[in-house]
Amino acid sequence: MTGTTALQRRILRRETHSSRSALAIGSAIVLALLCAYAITEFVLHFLGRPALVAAPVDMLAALAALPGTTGLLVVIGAGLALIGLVLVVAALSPGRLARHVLATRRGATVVDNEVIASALARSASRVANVNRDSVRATVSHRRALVRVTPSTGRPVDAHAVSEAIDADLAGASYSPPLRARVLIEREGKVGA
Amino acid sequence: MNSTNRALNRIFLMLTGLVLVVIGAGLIAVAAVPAVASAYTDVAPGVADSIRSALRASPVFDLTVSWISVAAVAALLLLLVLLIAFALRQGRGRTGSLLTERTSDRDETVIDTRVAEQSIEDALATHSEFAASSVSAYRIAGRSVLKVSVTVRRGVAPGHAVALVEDTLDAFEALLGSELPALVSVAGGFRARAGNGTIVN
Repeated sequence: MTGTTALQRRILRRETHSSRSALAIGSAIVLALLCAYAITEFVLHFLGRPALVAAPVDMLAALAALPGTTGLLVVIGAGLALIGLVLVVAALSPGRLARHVLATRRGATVVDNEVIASALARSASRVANVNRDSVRATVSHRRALVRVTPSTGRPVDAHAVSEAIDADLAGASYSPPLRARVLIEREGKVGA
Repeated sequence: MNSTNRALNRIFLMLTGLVLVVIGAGLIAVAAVPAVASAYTDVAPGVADSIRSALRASPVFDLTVSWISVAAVAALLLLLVLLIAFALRQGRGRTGSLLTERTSDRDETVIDTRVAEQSIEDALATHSEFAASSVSAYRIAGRSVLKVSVTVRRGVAPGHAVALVEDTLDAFEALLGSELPALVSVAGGFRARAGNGTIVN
């Protein structure tokens, strides 16, 4: 069962990209509430009852007299345009999640970047012979950055750490591939 | 893994966003650009008047309600229903039955998703590398697909964790007697960070 099938490719794509459903549900609920409000005003108007905020006819009048309230209008307009822009960007951007695809025997596997970072930090701390908490690793889409804080008085072999990290990354084929950078902090930490 | 229509989500966000941008830009223009403001003041009252007279000219039931407003309410109601349906349609696609097999003309064997859930979760619980695991099944393109999500402890190599899960999946397939496509998802998270690390080589 090696190689990825169409089904697996589809699953992996969906697992590494946001579905945008939170934003879509949120916008849909806000719009639905606005609709419900407008319907309520219309029905109150039909029944001859007093409006909640303004009857539809009064809204029309207020809309016609818009330029009267400039300052507030600019703020509201800017706010709406900004929200609109956020939605458009969300609609067009890929929405990559902080995950990598790991090629394995069965094929369909996703790993959180956090997990990769944690494993790299562990390898680095073992090779550098420092405490686990003295290594900070971050993994982004294409890069892994490992920062090692040495114990004071015990120099860390940066080359050995780099080699260990590279070996780790070479042993697991992530996609997109990761390139590692190892930083040894100049200031050591006492007793770590 | 779920059957959320992602293209529809994006189209919806795009349309809503564009409408908001247009309304927002329009409001700013009316408020801050003198030329637009004067043009608006020239035209808007006339438009409002003609809408009012159109409403007055189209009474229904009695003389106070226009059928145009009734149509507006109907349109809003339709939009409301569509929006609610759109919101509720998200995230479906989980299935309770993993496998259905006709064993003869009259008989059918159904294997519940809980079988996979319990046996795989139990098997993974024996490994100290995992802080938690959860198994669910989805219906994708007419096939049942398992999703095995594991939370690994701090420092566990992803490849090692996945190999353990895949061995478990192989064993489950052997038990089931049929192939089962599966997605393995490895996560960290709070429980992983809070717990003690395990030594894994």
